[in-house]
Amino acid sequence: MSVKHSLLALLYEKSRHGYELKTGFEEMVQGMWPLNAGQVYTTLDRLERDSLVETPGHDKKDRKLYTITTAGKEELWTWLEDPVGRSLFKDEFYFKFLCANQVSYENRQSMIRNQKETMIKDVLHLTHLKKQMMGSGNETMKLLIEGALLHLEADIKWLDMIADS
Amino acid sequence: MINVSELKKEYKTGKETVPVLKGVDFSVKEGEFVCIIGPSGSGKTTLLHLLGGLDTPSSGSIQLDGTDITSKSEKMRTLIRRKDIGLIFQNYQLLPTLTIYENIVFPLHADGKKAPSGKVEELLEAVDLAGYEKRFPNELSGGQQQRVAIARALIHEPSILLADEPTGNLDRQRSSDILDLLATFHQERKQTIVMVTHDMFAAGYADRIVLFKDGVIEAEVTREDEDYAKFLSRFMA
Amino acid sequence: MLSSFRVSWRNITRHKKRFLFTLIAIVLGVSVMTGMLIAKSTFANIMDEQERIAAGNADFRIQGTKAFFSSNELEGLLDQDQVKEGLATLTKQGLADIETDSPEQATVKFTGLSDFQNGMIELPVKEGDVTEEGLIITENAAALWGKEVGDLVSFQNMGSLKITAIVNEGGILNSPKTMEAAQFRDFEAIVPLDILQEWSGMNRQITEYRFQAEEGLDQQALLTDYQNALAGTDLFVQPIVADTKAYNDVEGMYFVFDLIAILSIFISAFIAFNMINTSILERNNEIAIMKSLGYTGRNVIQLIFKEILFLASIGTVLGLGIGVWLGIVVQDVLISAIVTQNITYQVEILMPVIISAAVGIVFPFLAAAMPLYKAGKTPILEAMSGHSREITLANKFNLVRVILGVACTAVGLIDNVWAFLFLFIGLVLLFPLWMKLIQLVTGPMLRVLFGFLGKQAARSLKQFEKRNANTAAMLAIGVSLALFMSAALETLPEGMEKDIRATFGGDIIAEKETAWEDSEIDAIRNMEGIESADAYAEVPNVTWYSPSGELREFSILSFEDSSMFELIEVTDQTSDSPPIYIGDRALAEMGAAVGDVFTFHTPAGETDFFIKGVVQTAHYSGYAGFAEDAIVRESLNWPLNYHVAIDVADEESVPMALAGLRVNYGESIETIDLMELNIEQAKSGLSGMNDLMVGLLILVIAISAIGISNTLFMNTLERTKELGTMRALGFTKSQVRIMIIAEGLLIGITGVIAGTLYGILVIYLNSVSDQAPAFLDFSIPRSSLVIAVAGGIVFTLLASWIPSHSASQISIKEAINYE
Ligand SMILES: Nc1ncnc2c1ncn2[C@@H]1O[C@H](COP(=O)(O)OP(=O)(O)OP(=O)(O)O)[C@@H](O)[C@H]1O
Ligand SMILES: [Mg+2]
Repeated sequence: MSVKHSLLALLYEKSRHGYELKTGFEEMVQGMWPLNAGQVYTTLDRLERDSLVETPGHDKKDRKLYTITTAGKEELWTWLEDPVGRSLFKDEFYFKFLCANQVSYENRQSMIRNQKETMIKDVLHLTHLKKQMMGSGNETMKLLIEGALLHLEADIKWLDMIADS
Repeated sequence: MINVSELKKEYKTGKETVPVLKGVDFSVKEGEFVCIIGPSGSGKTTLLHLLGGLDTPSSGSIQLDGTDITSKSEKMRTLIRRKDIGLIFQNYQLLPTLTIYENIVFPLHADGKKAPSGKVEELLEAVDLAGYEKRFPNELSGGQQQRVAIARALIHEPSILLADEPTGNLDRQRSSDILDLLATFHQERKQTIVMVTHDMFAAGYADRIVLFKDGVIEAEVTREDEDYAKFLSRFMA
Repeated sequence: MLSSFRVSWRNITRHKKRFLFTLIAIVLGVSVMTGMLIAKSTFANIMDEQERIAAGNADFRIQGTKAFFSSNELEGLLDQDQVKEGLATLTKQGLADIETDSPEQATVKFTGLSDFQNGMIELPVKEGDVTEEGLIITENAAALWGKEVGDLVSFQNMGSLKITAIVNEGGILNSPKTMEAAQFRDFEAIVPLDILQEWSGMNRQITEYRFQAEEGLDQQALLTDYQNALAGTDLFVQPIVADTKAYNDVEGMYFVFDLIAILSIFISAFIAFNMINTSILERNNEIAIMKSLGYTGRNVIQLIFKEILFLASIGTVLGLGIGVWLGIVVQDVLISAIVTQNITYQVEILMPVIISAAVGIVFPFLAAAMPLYKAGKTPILEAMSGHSREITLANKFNLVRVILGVACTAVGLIDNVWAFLFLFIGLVLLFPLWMKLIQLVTGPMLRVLFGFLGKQAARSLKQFEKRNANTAAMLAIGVSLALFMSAALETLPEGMEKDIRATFGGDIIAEKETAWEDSEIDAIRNMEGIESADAYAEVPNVTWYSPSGELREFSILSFEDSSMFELIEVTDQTSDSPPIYIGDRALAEMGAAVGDVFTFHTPAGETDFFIKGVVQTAHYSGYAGFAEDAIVRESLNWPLNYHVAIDVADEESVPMALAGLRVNYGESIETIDLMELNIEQAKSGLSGMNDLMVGLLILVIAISAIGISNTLFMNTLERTKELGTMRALGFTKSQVRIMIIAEGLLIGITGVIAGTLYGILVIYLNSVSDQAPAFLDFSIPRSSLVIAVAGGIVFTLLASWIPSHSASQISIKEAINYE
């Protein structure tokens, strides 16, 4: 997953210690992806092991400061450049649908309905979020929301389609 | 702000009378953003037109800010409309022989007023059409025309904005722009908005959703309600 | 920004061609109207001016029943306190001493004036000084004689005199323009009274004494005083009256002018109506949007009002300009056709322009009243969704329309000169009905001619039924008017000739300075080639009051048998008053009816006459009276006959008879009038008018043809999408063209057929009418029929040409996207 690369990106900006990286990440995703401290440190350990980051010293409060290495930077660039394909089975609901059909799941309709409800909730949530962010100027996030809404629209359409079939 | 009670409307077609609104009770608070959804032919547009004073109900009352408009003459309704109501139609309804500027200032002009200087430019800026003043409607795309229509509905700073499927025939991206625009105005100016829509994404902007069916209000939910999503998923395509 | 006229301008010019054609229609309507008004009022002005000049400033004239009387007879009669100024005149024939082919060409009629500085006669000076005693001649005489101011002119057996002034032709002095004309007319000249008396050896003799009463005197009482004082003498007094109706029969012409003005404005109003109505219907949706945005019905009306004002103002301004020009042209034609002398006149422009401007601005509003009202009432929702209540309204309106149409037609059948305008209004109202009927015939015809395209045209005509019916109705009015007028012009000369022949009284009428003696009449009867000769009296300057209290004057002629008139109506009743027969025009002016007793001021003083009958006569075009010989002698105190009516054996005898008359009485013969010459003049006057009328009629048909263009523009515009689709589905440009022309032809032929039928109806009504001039028989000249029908169809084809062209140019792509 891309937590690794997000941390690299944050470190590319400036050197940070572990906690700063956690809050920086959360800020970046508008708090929509809570990250626990353990996950941050295991990731950092892995990055350090692969020589993508290093720890040249401590700050005044004696916390470990992480810095990005040249190899780290290169890894970040490669990752950014690498296009992302879309696998058919990346979406878990697709699998659920597949399996439900496999076993002739009798609650298939309610499964679909629930999925749709959840998606509508997401739409609502994202719309609300967008409305709140109106005027905040966080264009990147707005664009992400817009993208998500477009996906959701397509997904809901598809749900309507399979519900009818 | 808006108080509708026991509102009925029937149309006469030939010898038959077709009831379209069969007793609607409905109110909107000041600054509220309400969305009306419902199947085609259920009377949404009819209700909106009645709210805007474009037509008179068969019975029942409509109060805008405490004034019952149903008992008013057509002229009085026009005077109220030109002061307090901004209308946005599904198909823009721009006046083809007027320039964009002239279209936008039309409601003020109807009221015998002039636009304060810079106001039109400011609105055009807001709808992202700066510099289009001198153009004519047929030189604009559908989305641009709809944005002009929104600017026109806002020029006289009405306290109520009535919109009938403002994104009806726009693609997702365009409609999203339009809705964002409306939402911005709603937040900044505390306008009361009643919007008819088929579009769930549009409904997402509302504080409250009213479901219309067969000429009556079948159900309502507010954003805070638990089953908001369930409600929407049930009624929206 | 919005309130500016720019928006109105944009709106009315939205459809350029339609705007242009409507504008042309208005311009033509206004200009024809202005032209007619200018011609009419200028002409009326000339008449008034001539009358005024002829009457001069004098109030009364004293004349004798004999040609001359001695001025001594006046002595003691005229009270110095009552007469402000007086003028004695003597009229005498003479011969100028110039070289001519025949002596008739040298005849001069002298008027001897006792005072050259009087304030009673107004002469239009060209050169010289009219207050200086001497010879005053007109410009025509000066030109023909080759004389200038200061030259000496001599007169046979009289003497010579120096020219002191040359004046323009006009009310007082008139001379022939050419030597040919001089054959039948006298040169006229003014000389000092004493010199004329001396030349002719008529010491103290005068013909007339006219005078001006002191201000503030009761003229009626004065007249009675003098009438009493002169009773029993062979002198009599008459008030001086300005009335030239006896010489100018212009009412008919005025009527035609009024008619053309009214019709042209009516037709162009209808075209304006069509355009405004269509433009309002087209903009239904826009009007609804405006209302939804806060426009009240009144705002909408104001907006459209402004547009109409725009259209009307532009049209009127242009129309006035062209109208003034047209008026001057028509005026010129009139003057040369009717007034044979070349007189100076001033074109009367102000009032006609004010009236036309007012009408030009107002009539588009009248035409737009209905559409405007509808616009104000446009229902927001129906209009915005594209529904329209037109259809239900139309049905209700249709019934009202038919009822009104029948009512107007009924009024139109009333026998009155103006009532038949209602016939035309009825025609317009009933036209949708006629259209349906006529198209039962023309529809199949066009289908045969144009096949599928004709069928398609007929179908699309139905789509805009009302507009097409209105347009065809306008053409029908133009065509029927053209038919009627050209039939009238065709039969008029014949009718007039018949009339003159029937009532002239003889082949030759000769008037002598002195009364005809019985022996002289006998002598004439015995002359070679002469069949009969009868003297008759003409009592001049008989005055009377019109119903509006104005003084009028005419002559009363004596008769033995009634060869000088034809009876129109006569009563069996009798009365104590002597009977008199009155010419039709005079009777109309008198406001009297057969059987009435009417008071005239005659040489016998104030006399009551019993109107025994109304007659038609060539004499003074019916502006005269007739009384039996005995009555003229006794009741009118007019014992002498100055006129003789002579019948000749055959036409070849005329020159011989004339020669005989000249040889024997040449010196004292004042005028000789030939029937044939009269007929010729009447006809040539008519033919001058004929061209003018044909021109005006073509203008009227042209205006209605513009209506067809306009209507076709509107029809095709509204079907842009349909036409585009047809083109997309494989119609060629020329197929579209033919279809539109077929449409125009359908309208045109319908209009022509209905117009022809109504034209025939109008001709018939006219022939049975008591009010219309009696010389119109019921006949439909083939040439008139051809002019009306061919004119209608040719104009229709022309009118369909441009719209068909622009319809065929419609771009398929744009048409399909057209809203
Ligand atoms: N002028 C009219 N005459 C007769 N019936 C009408 C008229 N206008 C609307 N109706 C009927 O009233 C009903 C409600 O129409 P309305 O336009 O309010 O529906 P709506 O809810 O806006 O539908 P949609 O979502 O399709 O716009 C429909 O059945 C329609 O046929
Ligand atoms: Mg609707």
